[in-house]
Amino acid sequence: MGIRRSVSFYSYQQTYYTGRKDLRQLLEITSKIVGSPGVELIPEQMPVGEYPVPDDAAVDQWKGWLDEYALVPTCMDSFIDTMLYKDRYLTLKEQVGQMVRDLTLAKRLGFPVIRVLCPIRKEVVEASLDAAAKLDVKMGLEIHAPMTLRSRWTTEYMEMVRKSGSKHAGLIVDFGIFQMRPPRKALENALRAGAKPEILDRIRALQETHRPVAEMMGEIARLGGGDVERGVAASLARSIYSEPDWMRDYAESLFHCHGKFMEMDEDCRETGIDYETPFRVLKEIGYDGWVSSEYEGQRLYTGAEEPDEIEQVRRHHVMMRQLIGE
Amino acid sequence: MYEKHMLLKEDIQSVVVDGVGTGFTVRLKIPYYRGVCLSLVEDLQVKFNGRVFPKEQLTFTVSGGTFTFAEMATMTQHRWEFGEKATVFVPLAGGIPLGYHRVEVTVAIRVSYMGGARPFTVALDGVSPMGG
Repeated sequence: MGIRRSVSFYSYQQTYYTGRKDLRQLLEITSKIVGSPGVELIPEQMPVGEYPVPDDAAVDQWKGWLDEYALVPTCMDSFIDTMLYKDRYLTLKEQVGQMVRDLTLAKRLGFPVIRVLCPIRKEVVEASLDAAAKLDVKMGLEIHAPMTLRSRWTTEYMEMVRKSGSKHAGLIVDFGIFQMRPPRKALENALRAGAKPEILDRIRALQETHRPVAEMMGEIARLGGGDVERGVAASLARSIYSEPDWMRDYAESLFHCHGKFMEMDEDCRETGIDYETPFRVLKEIGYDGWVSSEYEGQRLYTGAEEPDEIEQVRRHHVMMRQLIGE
Repeated sequence: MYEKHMLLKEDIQSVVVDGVGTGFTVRLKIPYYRGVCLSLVEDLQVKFNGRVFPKEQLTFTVSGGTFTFAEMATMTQHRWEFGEKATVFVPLAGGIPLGYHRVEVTVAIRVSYMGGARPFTVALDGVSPMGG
């Protein structure tokens, strides 16, 4: 089966938030305009009926839409609100309760995998393994920058998974960990705000060789840069790079991928994140799963101009088709 | 996107009871990319021409009811969904006077994975009792 294309509806957040399209319309667009076979949903963002317990009619309607638009549910994004109450953290038992709540919803909506947010503790996943097995829904801890594929958090979690012998806990890779340079739009914004092009070039070159932000700040000072250039460097502070090759360590536990992207240019190329190498590695390790487009460039639009989320996702799928060889 | 879209001028209007203005309402969307249960709304503040109305003076209407902030602190079943307009009532005697005014709204949602509340403020100038 190999690599298959999906869309995380996170990508359409502004379109939905502003009321331009509802969930059904976005499913239709995903099928007919983007041409994606897969769909990933954050039910706390675009609920099917009522979150976390939709009535049966809402679930039936959801399944009817999936049939109508020939879409496969690929992954459901879960959150656990450890700070649900102002004055204390949730106990382990309460956090597991939230995990089971989301596993149950995923089962009802047809999602085989849930995304576990990266700061969720391994103990919570461990204590949810039985529930996940009973429901046959997998939990994938998201490897999201600034976390890396070789962070202690990742290796300790995977140690727990291997010891448990469970097939229901693994990883989800967010492609933000493969960012090589600032997105084009961030650089354009900085130029408009008066940044010196040669300093932006220097920041870009330093990021391409994975140099730390502190070093960029030193260079900016040396070259006579100001707040705008420092702002560009500061925005990269959390973009800690992982080598795509490191995915090989976890080949059997990779459940899903988030194809994070910030800007697709007119030729359908991502302007800051490497896709060729990670796709090559995924093929080589025999990855048999989904990559969901996850557009996050909305935040680069600070003026009157509005992002075209649907067009961005469409271009991302043009690129993924080429990389997959469809 | 929240600066532009969470609060629109036409969503601020006087509340009139028996011909007397008792305050005004602000209908606003959540400045966060997902909906949350009401216990996670840690703070809310409205400023009208610089006069501060803290959360204790406001009520919040969403998810089928009108609640005080003391009540919301323990509400984990009722939610403020992404893109949904909640109505905040601000007790400004007389309602919005003629002329143009500045309204600032601050909302802080407690985001567990960020380790706490993230205040977000949006300010609108030129708010009039006529709307828009």
